[in-house]
Amino acid sequence: MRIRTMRGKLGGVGLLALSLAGAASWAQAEDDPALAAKGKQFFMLCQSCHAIDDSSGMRIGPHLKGVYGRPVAALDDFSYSAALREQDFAWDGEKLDAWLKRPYDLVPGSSMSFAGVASEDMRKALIAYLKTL
Amino acid sequence: MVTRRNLIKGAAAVPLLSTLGAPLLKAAERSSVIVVGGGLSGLYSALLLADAGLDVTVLEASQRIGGRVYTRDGVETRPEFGASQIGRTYARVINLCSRLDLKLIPEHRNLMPMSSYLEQNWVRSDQWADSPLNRMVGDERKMQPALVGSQLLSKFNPLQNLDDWLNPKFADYDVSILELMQRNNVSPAAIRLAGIGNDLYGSSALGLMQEKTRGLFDARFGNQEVEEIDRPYGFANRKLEGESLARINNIEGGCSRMPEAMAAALGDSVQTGKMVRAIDMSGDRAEVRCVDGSRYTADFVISALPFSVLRNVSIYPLLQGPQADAVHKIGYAGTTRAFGFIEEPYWEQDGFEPSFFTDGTIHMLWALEKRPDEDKHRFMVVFTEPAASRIDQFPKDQALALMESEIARIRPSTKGKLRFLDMYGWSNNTFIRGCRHMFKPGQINAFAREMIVPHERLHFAGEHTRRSDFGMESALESGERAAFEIIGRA
Repeated sequence: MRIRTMRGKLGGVGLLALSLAGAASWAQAEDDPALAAKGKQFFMLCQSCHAIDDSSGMRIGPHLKGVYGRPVAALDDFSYSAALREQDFAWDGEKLDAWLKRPYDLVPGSSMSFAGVASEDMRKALIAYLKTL
Repeated sequence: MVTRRNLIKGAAAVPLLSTLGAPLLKAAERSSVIVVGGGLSGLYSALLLADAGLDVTVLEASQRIGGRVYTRDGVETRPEFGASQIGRTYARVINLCSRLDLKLIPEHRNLMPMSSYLEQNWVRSDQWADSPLNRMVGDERKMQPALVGSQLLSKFNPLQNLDDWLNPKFADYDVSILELMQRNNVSPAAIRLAGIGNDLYGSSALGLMQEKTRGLFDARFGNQEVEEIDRPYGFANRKLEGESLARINNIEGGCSRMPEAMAAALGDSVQTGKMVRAIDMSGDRAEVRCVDGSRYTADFVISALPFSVLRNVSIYPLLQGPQADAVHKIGYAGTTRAFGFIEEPYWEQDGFEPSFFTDGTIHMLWALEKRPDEDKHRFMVVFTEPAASRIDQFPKDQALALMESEIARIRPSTKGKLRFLDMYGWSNNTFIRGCRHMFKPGQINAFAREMIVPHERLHFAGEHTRRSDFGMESALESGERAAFEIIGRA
């Protein structure tokens, strides 16, 4: 799915290799336990809307257990916005990074009320934590 | 890092100093973070920082914590003087209530139908569209007088996303309500009605549109349009089947229970009666000095004060540029309300509707349906700008007497049937000076983006520093952002 998106956006077959290289560097950063620990602190930005387990019921937003790698708008018992339901991708490092930077840029019309995280380092830490859930 | 606990141990080792008790000799108290202002945003930032293991001190100038959340417990109906409405998408407020074991209940403040008294004439809402008093033009004529300003702002609102108001693309809307309306060929009669409850000259249209956009978000959330969108003055509240929350909720027992519970969780780190006069960051730590001579040092400081009173605090190094302009020039607006019981249904005598809106002294009287546990209807007299600033010039007793006699003069059927209990005007709270910030025309372009950037060790919270939320949620949004900034630095 990502390959299709990248082609659609950048329009070149040769960019496939580039996108895979990008994914590799993401994977390295994401598996750093110290980074994940930092990300857990930053999760204060998310905790009001998102539970980290799937047993305590939904908050305003969907729970985030297993969010990394989960297809977009995939939980049956959460009422996603139409804009998000129309998407077709899985939450990998790149998508999560774009989403956390500014949700409306990735999915215009989304209903997540979130000002975004401007710092790339902070987003990396958050994603490293999300990957542990 | 020296924590409070270490400090106390240290103090015990030098009993001579403490028995002298001379404030002059007392060392400054040390913490990791000092939060100035004990309203919702300050308390919430302190709670989040304490969660993260930091040592926090909250300094509140008045004797009451809670700021613009103020449940008047001593009065019969226990009115909410300040913020009380919790939308179903106020995620932080909802989650915080759950954490603090506070129960959310559907708001029961159902506004009864509203007649108007304009230019010394009464008109019912169902006769307004065809009334000779209605001098508006075309489709405008369908708008009820009390809603003209709000509905026109919604009509011209181009914003889609919650943060669009900060996008320079919409800079052209950072003009007065008057200019927006004239630019859109609104009739003079409609502008005149809009000016009864809005500051035509002093409020940025773009700032008010941010709130409209947040309101739409709330109404449409979860793919269910629960309400007609534009009903600013109370409405029949709705609770959807299967949903745990209503469209608008309150906190059982009063909204003040929330700041009280936060303060209880923070324990003795919340201090009242501590008015800050200076925040000095010239040295290697921040020093906060209070008017009573006490001093506190910390690695970081959060100002959770409204800018209307932060401008009374000396800040070193000096604020510069747009940020200095924001602190010293941003506008504030008042809201004043009086509360009471309706002893008898006066509307049965005169044939007009229970509530009314007027271009006179009173502005609005809201007749509120009795609650299931009450045997009488309640009322609120509601003043927004510019009527709020007029009534606020009188001492309370005179203001209440004026309201009672003026309501009886224009609507004789009410005579002896309204029992006033209390009133409150936020501009007269000298620790706050208004019920909310209100960007003046041009101020969003001038400093809204820059005003929240940390200055040295000083970070900014408070509803005026919100980015995408509204009401109580915006206070928590800002407190969360400030706490997050500090955790990123600490």
